[in-house]
Amino acid sequence: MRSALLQIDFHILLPHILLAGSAILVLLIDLLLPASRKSLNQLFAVVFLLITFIVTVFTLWTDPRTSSMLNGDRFSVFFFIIFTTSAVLVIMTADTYLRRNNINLGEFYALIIFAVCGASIMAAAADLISLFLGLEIMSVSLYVLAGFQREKPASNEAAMKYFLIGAFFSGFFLFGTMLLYAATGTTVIYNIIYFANSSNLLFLGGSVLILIAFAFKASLFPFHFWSPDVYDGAPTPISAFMATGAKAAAFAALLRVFFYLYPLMGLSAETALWVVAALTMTIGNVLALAQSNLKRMLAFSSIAHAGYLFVGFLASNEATVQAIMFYLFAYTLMNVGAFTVAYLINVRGEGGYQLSNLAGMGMKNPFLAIVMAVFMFSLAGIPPTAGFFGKFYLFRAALDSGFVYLVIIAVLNSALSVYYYLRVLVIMFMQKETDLPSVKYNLAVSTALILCVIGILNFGVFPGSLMNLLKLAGL
Amino acid sequence: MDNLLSLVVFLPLAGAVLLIFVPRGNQSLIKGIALTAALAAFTASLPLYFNFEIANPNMQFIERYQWLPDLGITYSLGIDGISLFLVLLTTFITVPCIYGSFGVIKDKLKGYMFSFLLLETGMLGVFCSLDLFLFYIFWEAMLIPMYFIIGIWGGPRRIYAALKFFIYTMVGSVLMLVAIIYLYLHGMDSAGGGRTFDILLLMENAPHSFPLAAQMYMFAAFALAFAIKVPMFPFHTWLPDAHVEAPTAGSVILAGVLLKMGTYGFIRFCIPFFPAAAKEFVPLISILAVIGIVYGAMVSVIQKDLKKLVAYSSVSHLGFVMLGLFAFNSPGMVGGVLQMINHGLSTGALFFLVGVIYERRHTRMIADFGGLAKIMPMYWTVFMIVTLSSLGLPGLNGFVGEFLILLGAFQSNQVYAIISASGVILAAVYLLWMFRRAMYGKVENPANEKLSDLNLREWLVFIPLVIPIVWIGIYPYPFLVRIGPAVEKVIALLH
Repeated sequence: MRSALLQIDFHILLPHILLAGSAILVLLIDLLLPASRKSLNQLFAVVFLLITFIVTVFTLWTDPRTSSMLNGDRFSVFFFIIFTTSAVLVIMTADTYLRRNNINLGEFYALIIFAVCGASIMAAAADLISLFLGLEIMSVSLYVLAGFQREKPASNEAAMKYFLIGAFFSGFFLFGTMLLYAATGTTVIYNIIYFANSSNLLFLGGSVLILIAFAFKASLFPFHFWSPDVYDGAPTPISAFMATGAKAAAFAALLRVFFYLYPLMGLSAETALWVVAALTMTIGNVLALAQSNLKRMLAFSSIAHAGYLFVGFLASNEATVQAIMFYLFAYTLMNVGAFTVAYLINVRGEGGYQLSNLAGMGMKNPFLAIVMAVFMFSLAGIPPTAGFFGKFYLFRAALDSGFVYLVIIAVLNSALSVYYYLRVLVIMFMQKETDLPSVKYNLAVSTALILCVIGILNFGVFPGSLMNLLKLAGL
Repeated sequence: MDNLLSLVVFLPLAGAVLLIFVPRGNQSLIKGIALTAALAAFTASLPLYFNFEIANPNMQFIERYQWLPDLGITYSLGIDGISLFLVLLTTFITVPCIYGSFGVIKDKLKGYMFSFLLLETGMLGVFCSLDLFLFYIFWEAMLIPMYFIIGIWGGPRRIYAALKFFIYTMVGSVLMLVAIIYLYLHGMDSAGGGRTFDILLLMENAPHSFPLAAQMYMFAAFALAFAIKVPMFPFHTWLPDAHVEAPTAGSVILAGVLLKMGTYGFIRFCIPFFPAAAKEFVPLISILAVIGIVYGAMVSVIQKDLKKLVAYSSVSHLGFVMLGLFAFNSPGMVGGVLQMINHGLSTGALFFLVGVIYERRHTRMIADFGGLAKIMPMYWTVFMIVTLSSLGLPGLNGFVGEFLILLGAFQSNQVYAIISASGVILAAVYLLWMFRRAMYGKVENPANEKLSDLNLREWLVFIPLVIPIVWIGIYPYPFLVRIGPAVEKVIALLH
């Protein structure tokens, strides 16, 4: 088994090599492009990602493999699909943002692709060491991206905060890995599960530390405090990627390591995590209620969504993995869409994320207002949207494992969340118009938004097609 | 036709989709498409009545397609005697709603008609679904267009009213969702497992699958969602706000059809799924119904605003429906179902009548009127017929329903019946007093002297509404004979 390390299976490495290669190519192409043509790089970035996507689907999806460092199973391929979807949508919508804020173009796209590369290594990891590698590649790219608007203090603050806290929690991960190694003599996830022993304090301590590191990345209570500030300060397309792609990566890693490990941690772990799930949902929603800033509202709501996902994780039955993947995919579509509309209408610059600035959107920018309505209804989990089906699927899994009270807390939370999602619609459609200028955006943005809407409605009415894929993608 | 029900349910949606491609400015085309879609849905629904097998208590016009086979979710539709008339009521009353909005709604007409057609599909879906999951989708999806209708085209406090309507309904619905999923997971346990959302299968097996305590919790979760929708006292506070702020057609559809989804839910889901729990809940629900009857009527008496008066009278009338349904005997339940239809017609017509003078005077205060009988004699005639129908005058529809309900209630519990009967008297008080103040006396307000009588558009709204009001009053047999067998089947489940 160990000797397999020496034989490199390029098949498994292919998506990661292609992603890293794409990122480097995008950097190089940026040097060759004249300053007036920099936005062409957007096109290259999307094309490279799509090529990687197609190659990965045709190789690994049809012929899944495993090894002791990285897995090439369908689980990792599907998460790769989520990351790529998130990245492609973010890149398509980012150009308008970058132009508006006069930011350098090339490395922006390259860093996003690097982040995707890190995320897909995380999802594919078969060993805690390779997981750490992916985690760091993704995180470092995101630290830089969060601070991309160098002249803007909030952006710098976001990067600094994210970096310091992120580095701190990376330490948790490494320390946990060390303890697990001490307890089981291995860093291969599969073997750790095999040697797991809940009466061993080293094992328990190690798993808890790693769990905390993931909880930080997924912004679960009580490790959620960084996310509103970072999402708020970071360039909005990056906030969208962090809330979807990076969060999906955290859940991928969580499932990889803990799907089989968590049931072995004993009852007290279940009680503690029950509380974590309940508080994550409630705190996210209650604080989102209090926001008057659209971007911060979305940031807090993304904490609440992490809570719903965690409810699905706690269920830890055969429906869990599918339910979480479905939800993350749906969540990617609706959240990237919502963040995009949020920045598009922010034509007034700083402070323009105030909810009150949306007044009269329904008449002035009906296209944006209507797609935003779809995103809001989907985030609130109202049928016939993918958001509803995702929630249904998660809660069904949790009820199947007997978490009746937790699911009741979850649905009440989702009723609570309706209030602040609807408030966006109230302001857009029902309040008097202000002197809102009409918003300009290019074809790529509208295409991305339409794709999001089609996806949300399609998977809301015909979720079967996606579910059938997911059935193949279990752990 | 095999897919008749689907056709009825989705014709309005097709009209809505068509509307998307019409430019905003072309108002006459928008009106044309909306009205055609509503009329087409109504025409398509007529064969449901004529081809309905009268003595058959089971579901008819059944359609069944796989949707998500892994989860036991199917797309299945069907109607029985209980849902038949609710479907007909929906397709019927949407036509005057759309027609009656012409000329009234000038702003964002396209969005308005779009929402209305969407709403119609949602309501029809709720009444036709034979799959709990499908039912829930329609039940929730229908909130969206109603929310916009109140919130965009409503009165001054529309935003508050729309949000309140949405949140109230949502809180009830999500708890029902938990119960639905639980029912799905364990509802077939008595039949040896398997998981399904199929309503007919669950009706057969769910009653034996749960211990009484579990039944009680699930009944409560379903009942809360429906009680908010009905609305039963003390969950009624969203209703006056929503009614008062909604545009006229919105109030009509809200009173005419939406509230019936609550009472329909009780007789379709709560009672057949959890008969043992339902029996335990009879005292609670009956007492709340009786309180609703008396309280709604008493609050109506003191209202100064016409629309609010009609809104509170709905609380009272739907209390009667609930009392009838939970009498658990044939006259009570048949009366309850018939009264759903009656209330839809009478109260719908009342809201239209309030709308008529509101459009002319932009006030709904009873005190602003007086002596209208002389100025608007035709309006007076229609108003009188509808008022009398609403207070239950023999010969008009309200009497038949209320009589049957009280008969049934008397057989099961005399105290409830006697107290509720006072609601009939109070109804006479608030309706006739309102009628006297608005219609008779001197014309004191000079603004009222030049009011024009009903125009052609308004006649076309009222004639179709008055016909069934008189028809059910004089000859209810065709209705009762179709409702009866389906209700007997529900009663049989209780024993």
